[in-house]
Amino acid sequence: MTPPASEPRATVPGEAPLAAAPPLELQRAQAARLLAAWKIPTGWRYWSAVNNTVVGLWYVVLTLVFFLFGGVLALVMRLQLAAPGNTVVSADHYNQIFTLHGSVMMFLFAIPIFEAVSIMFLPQMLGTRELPFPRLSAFGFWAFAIGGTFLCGSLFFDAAPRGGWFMYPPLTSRFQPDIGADIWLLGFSFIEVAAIAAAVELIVGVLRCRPPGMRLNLMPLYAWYVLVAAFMVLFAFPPLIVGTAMLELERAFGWPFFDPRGGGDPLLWQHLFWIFGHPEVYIIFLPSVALIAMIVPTAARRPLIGYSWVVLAAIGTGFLSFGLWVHHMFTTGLPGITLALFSAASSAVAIPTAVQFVCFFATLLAGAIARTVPMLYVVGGFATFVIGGLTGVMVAMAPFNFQAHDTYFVVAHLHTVLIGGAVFPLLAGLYYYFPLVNGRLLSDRLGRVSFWLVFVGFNATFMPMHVAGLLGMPRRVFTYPAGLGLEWWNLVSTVGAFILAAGFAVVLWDVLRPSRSKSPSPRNPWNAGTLEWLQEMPGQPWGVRTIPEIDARYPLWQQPNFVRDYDEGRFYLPDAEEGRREMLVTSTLDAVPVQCMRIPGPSFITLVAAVFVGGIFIFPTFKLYTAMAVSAVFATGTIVVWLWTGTGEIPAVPTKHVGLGVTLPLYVSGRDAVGWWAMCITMLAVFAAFLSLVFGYFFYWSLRADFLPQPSPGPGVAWPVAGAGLITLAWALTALARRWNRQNVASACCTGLLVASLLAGAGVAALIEGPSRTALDPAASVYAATVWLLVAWTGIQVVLGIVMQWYCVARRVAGRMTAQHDMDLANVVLYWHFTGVTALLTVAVVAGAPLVA
Amino acid sequence: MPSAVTVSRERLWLPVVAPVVWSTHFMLCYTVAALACGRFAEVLPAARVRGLLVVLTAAAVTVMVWCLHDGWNRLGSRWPRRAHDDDTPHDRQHFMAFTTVLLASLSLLATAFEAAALWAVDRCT
Repeated sequence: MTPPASEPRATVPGEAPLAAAPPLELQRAQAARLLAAWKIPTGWRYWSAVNNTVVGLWYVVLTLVFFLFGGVLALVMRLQLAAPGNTVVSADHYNQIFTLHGSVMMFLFAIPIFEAVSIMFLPQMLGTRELPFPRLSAFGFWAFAIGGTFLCGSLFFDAAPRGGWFMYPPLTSRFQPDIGADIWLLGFSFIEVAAIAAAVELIVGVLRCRPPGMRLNLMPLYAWYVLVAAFMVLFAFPPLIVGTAMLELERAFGWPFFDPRGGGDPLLWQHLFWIFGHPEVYIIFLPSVALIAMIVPTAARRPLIGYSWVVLAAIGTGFLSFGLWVHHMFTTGLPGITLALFSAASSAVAIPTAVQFVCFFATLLAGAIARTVPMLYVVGGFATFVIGGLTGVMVAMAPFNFQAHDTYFVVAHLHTVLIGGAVFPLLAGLYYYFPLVNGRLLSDRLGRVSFWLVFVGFNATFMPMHVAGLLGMPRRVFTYPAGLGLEWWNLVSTVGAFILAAGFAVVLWDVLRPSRSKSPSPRNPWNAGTLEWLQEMPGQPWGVRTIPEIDARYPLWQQPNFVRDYDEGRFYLPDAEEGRREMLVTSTLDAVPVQCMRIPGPSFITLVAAVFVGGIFIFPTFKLYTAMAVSAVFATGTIVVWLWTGTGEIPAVPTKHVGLGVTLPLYVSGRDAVGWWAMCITMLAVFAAFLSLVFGYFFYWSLRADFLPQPSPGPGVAWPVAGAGLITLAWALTALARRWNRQNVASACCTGLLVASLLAGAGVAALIEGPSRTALDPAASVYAATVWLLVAWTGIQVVLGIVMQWYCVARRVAGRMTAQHDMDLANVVLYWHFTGVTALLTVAVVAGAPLVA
Repeated sequence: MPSAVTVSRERLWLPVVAPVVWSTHFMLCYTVAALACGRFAEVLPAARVRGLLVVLTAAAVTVMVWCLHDGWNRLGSRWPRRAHDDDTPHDRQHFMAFTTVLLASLSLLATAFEAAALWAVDRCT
């Protein structure tokens, strides 16, 4: 492979010698201009901020609030279970509490904390100024805040979901007709959309916004883990979103996806849920291990041993974790072959997990360990996680699993894995990274006290649960009779839970006590080697003073005079002459700079958009479908305004000198643009969701000989094929329109797009006409419901594509898109590639499958 | 002239070919099992299922071995004597090659492990 082609510019980046330090007055003037450009708004406008440090902080604080809420629920449960026949809460309240505890901890703490921490620190770790789409981060946060509050609030109206955090039908469809399950299904769908948005942001951030010279082999391990976890979010969440949509359609309109009376099958829910649910464990675990991978080299005062092996472990775990989902379903009567396959895969995932631990231990043994509070939590997490991993191998064995299924043994196992694998590392990260938040250190003494309380409390809570489970105590029971030998184990667990809570209370006090009483942190207090510790104490809103040139994995240790050069602003973009927020976009593998990108500043539009998008999910909970439609229209309008005013700005001059002799374009379109990447990655997630639907179709088909009604009253062949043909024409015309635009024939481009939108509209009508003509009733059979869902999915995607075509016409007419500046159209064409393929597949399934059968 | 991004994108996906083959093999095994123990029990008796799984596994292993071989070739004679932590395109390529080798090995291991389990348990009940 050839080295990256050099752009027609003066020098190859990284080879130009650093310029002499600018005079002191200039340095001060540069810093002042940067501060003005990156200023965090004050007063009530503070809430319009989009700086990653601010949004990240809100995000982290809110996830911790939800964590405390979930913890309090756990204490209530432990009180109820402290003695047999207790009456602290009623059975119904207990059901609401354990459902919310699991759901809150998983969806409102464990997953979002990874995205929150990454939004807060990833740019600093990469030595860049921001994530590529700051307003998207803010939108994600507001969506999370609205959805999370809605969910938790339901408990105070006695309306919380009661079906357990995995919501198995038919319990949650036929037997719980109240609003609780709807709140769960729609609320979490909303939050999952926000989670996918954050994942897109993080992937593009890691792949395209690294500082010049930070090739893939020099990237901080945290970035590798985040990359893997974000890709996992992309493929794990869509099946759940599809599953929740199906369950909600069954609950609201009687489409019998999971109801055997209409030919459905509740097992499909379990498949879709756990295809999400098992990777999710690793989505939680990997970013927490990533914190360990940052703390261990610092504590050992040497580079991590086995960098490539840890990368292997992260990627390998990411893949293998998608092959484990059936081990949650071992007792559902699946064939022996299937059990063997998943049992083997569940054991195999221990290999990459062990590899990374070996690397961490090797690094610690080879270095001189600093006995800091973060290390205490790291070591505590190691021990706990390894125990959880071993019980994990036990439950991966099908015969043992049959015995332990749905007992407290599983409860003990999952808490050991998640608390050892995620909560301990997060507490380590809290003590390690706290100085970056406000320039103060947390107390060493309180840290040690909290560690021992947490460690002892944790073990006292969960070790007895293993025994209680083996003695036969089922999970999710609100009480148990005396005389079964369970009393003492439960009492010890309850006492342990309160010791654990005391540990968290100490941490909370340490964090919340006034800043004055905390000692100020020196710069780089742990003598770390990674980029985030370049930060001044306390930090400035600009992210980095200047975007450095990277030559090593631990620049602070390995690059001579690095901090001095950085402070003097001798690298890239040390100034903001035009008063704009600017950052560098670089190439994927070798981080060669390709663009100086201007990103938008503070805005309330993200909050407005989140409110209206929230309406789309919250109104149908109360069966307010008109309000939902109105909210959808407003949401679309808000997002169009957001895009129109905040993106695709044509710069006054085409290029900018960014320092070190490098001049970069300010506007980039097509495959080199970050927007194109974000569209591509988002559409991968949308496509994964669509494939989950197709999986559902063939799942029913493989299960039942009578899935396809004979003689077929399906959608026929003519109408669906006509629909696919029209949509394909629209797709081709959209692609041609981009070519005509490039040739600067504006009239052809606009006409092409308008005709394409008409063809697309006709295509959707034809698609709908198929099942309408044959009067397929989606409430009557699962076959009809699945066909309608596939058609509706494609239809919605095409209609959004039509809005995008109109948007491009408007941009062209308004002069905001030109022959050279066509990123909007390039991204829309990419959207249409995915949409076209989706339409063809839909028709192949709904019209083709009955023919083949 | 292609841009820097386009040139350097060409092999970003190479290290993950083997794990993708692992996923495909895994899903096909799952599908075969589901069909053989479901609607198609008559068409797919145990002996035929075993033959099918052997063919699938052989195909997957072939691709993974090719990935391993390709990565090994690109690695040259430098492994395992030095870490690839220099800021050169060469070290970055070396890192990618090494990651290819490691991921192909892990995929082979996982596939072999699963195939062994399938060989031992080929019953539907």
